[in-house]
Amino acid sequence: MANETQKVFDTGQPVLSIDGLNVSYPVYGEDPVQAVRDLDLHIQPGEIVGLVGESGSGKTTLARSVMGLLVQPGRVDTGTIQFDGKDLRALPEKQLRAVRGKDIAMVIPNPRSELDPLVTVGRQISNVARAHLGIKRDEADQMAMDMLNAVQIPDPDRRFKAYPHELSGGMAQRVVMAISLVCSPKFVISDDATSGLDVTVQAQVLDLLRALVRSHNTAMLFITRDIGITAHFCDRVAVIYAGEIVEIAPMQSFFENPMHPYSVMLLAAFAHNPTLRAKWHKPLASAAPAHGGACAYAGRCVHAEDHCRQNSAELRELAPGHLVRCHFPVERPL
Amino acid sequence: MTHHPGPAEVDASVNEAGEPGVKPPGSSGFLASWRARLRFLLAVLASRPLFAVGYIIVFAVILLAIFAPWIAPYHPEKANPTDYLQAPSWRHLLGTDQTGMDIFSRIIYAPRIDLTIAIGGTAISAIVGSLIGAVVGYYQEMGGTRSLAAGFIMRTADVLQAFPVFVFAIALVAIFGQSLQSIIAAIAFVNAPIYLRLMRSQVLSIRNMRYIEAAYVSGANDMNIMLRHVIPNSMAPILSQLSVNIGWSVLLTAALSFVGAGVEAPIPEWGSMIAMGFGNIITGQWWPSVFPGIALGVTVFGFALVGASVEVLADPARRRALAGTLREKKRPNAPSKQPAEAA
Repeated sequence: MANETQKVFDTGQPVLSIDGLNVSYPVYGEDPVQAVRDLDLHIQPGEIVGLVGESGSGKTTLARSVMGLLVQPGRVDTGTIQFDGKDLRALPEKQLRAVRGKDIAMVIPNPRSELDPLVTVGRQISNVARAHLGIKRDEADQMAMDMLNAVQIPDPDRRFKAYPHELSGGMAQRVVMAISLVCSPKFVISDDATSGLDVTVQAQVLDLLRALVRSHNTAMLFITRDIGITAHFCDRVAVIYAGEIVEIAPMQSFFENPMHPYSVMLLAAFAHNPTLRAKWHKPLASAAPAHGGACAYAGRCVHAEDHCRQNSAELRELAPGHLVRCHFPVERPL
Repeated sequence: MTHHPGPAEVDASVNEAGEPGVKPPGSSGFLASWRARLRFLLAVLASRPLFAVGYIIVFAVILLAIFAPWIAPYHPEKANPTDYLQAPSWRHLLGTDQTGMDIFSRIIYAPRIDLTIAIGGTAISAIVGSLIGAVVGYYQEMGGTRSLAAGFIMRTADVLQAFPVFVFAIALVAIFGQSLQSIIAAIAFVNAPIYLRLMRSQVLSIRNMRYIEAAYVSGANDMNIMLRHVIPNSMAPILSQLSVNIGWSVLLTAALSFVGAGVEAPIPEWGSMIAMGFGNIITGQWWPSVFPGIALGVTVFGFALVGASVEVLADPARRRALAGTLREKKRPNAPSKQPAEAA
C-alpha cells in the first residue's frame, strides 16, 4: 500500500475546516491548561489525514471538540469548526444529533467496551441506521447484515445474533467500524482505534477500513500515536505537539523529507537505525512546553538555539503543501 | 433431566426455528427460538436444583392463591366455635385456631392477600424508584439546576430512609386508614428509596461506559440512551433485589398485621394468623402460629432463590457461561473434560 501512487486532492470546498481553534481546561486557582491552540486544519472530501502526537498533545481533545464531546470542564474558547458548510459550534443540540453518527462518525479505541453488552451486535448496527435513516427494522437489519459482510466478519449470520462478549477483539473492532460506517458518513474520526489490537489484526482492520473509506469517498481524521501506521494509511500527515500543529505535509513528502525536529524524533523512535536514534532521541525534558515568546518545542529540541527560546515559531510552507513550524527546519536527519 | 440431547443440541434447535433455505438475518444463534429458550431453562433447572426449588415454591404459592376455592376444604373466614383449637388431624389437617377456623384453608387463601400486597407494593416502588433513580443518576453530574434537583431528590430519599421502616409503615397506614391500598402504598413508599439509590449508583457507573459515549456519538438523544442502554444495563441488581424484596414485603405485611396495623382480623393473612395464634403458644397450642410461620418462611425463601437465578440469567455473559457448563455436563465422556478433572 505504501507504494500506491499518491492521491491528489483538489483544493475545493473542504468537508471539514477548523480555523483558529482554541480549547482549554480550566484549573482551579491557576491559569487554564491550553490543550489546543490556534489550530487550523482543512480536510478535503475523501482525504485521509493522519494526526500524530504523544499523549497529552491535544489529539483527542481536538477530535472531541469536533464531536462536541469535550470532557468537563473543557471548553472551546475561540475558533470555528465548519462541517459541510455548517458551523458545528453554532448548531443547536437537536441538529447536532442528526449530524453525529450520520454525517460524522467516530471510532473510539477499546472496541469491546464500546458495544452495549446487553444488545446483540446486529441490533447495535441496525439501531443506528434506524435512528438516522428513518427506515423499518427489517430494512435496517438487512443493512446491518450487509455491513457485517462488508467488514468481512466470518460467519455473519451467526455474529448478527451474538452478544459483544462472544466476539474477539478484532471482530469487535470490525463491528464498531460497521456501526460508524452504516450511514455512509462524509467524515470519520478514528481516535487511536486500533491501539488495543495485536499487529496482524491491526493491519487487517486498517486495510479494510481504508478500503471502505475509499470506496465511499469518505474523509477521515486518523488519530494515532504510531507514526508507522500513517505511512501506509494516510494521504497527509499532521504532527501535533503541545496543542499546535508543528508539521503538516502530504504523506510522501513527510516521510521523504521530515523537517520538524519533533517529527524526526518521532520517526527516530520507531526506526531501527541506531545512529538516527542516538542523534535524535532525547529523553523527556522536565520543562513544560513554553508558549508565548518561544518555540514550544525548544525545551526538548536537540537543535534549539537562543533564537528558538526567544521567538515563537510560525507555520511556514517550505515545500508544496508542506508546512513546518520551526525556525531551523531539519534538512537531513543524518 | 427432562431430555437427553446430543452434543449438537443447540444447533439442531436453531435449525428447527428458521425456515429452511431463507433465513432472515440473525435467525441463528444462541437461544434464538422460544423452544430453545424453554429447553435451556429446563436444562438450567435440572443442573441448578436450588433455582428449581425457588421456581417450584413460587409457582406453587401462586397456584395456591389462584385455585384456593377448589383446594381449601373449609371456608377461610367461617368460624366453627365447637371446633376451636383442634390439634392437627385428618379432619383439620393443620388444626384450627381459637375461633375454630381451619388453619390449612386459611394458609391456602392467605397468599391472595399477601402476594397482592407484596407484588403490588414492590412493583410500584421498583418502577417509581428506579425510574427516578435512573434520571437522577443520569443528570446528576451535568451541573446547574440538574445537579441541584438531583441533590434535592437524594436528600429527600435520605429523610425517608432515616425513619425506621416499620414505624414509618405503621405511621403511613395510620394516616391513610387501614385498607389494602394503603398497605400497598406504605410498602411502596418504604421501598422506593432503596430502588432509587440502587439504580442511581448503577447508572452513575454505567453512564461513564464507553458504549454510552458511543451511542451519543452515533447521534442518540438522552431519552434513547437512557431507555436503550443505561437502564437495561443497570437492571441486574434491581431484578435480584425485586424478588428478595417481594419476600421481604410479605414479612412486612405480616409484621404490620401482627401489631394490628395491617390486614383486619378475619381476612386470611399469614402475619395476622401468627399474631392471632401467638397467645395460644404459651398454653401449648403451637399450630395456629407455627404453620403460617412456616408457609411465610418458605415463600420468602422461594422468592430469594428466584432472585438469585434472575441475576444470573439476565446477564448474557453469565448465561453463556452457564450454558457452557451445562453442555460439559451432558457429555461426561468428552475428552475436554478429562484434563480438567485430572488437574
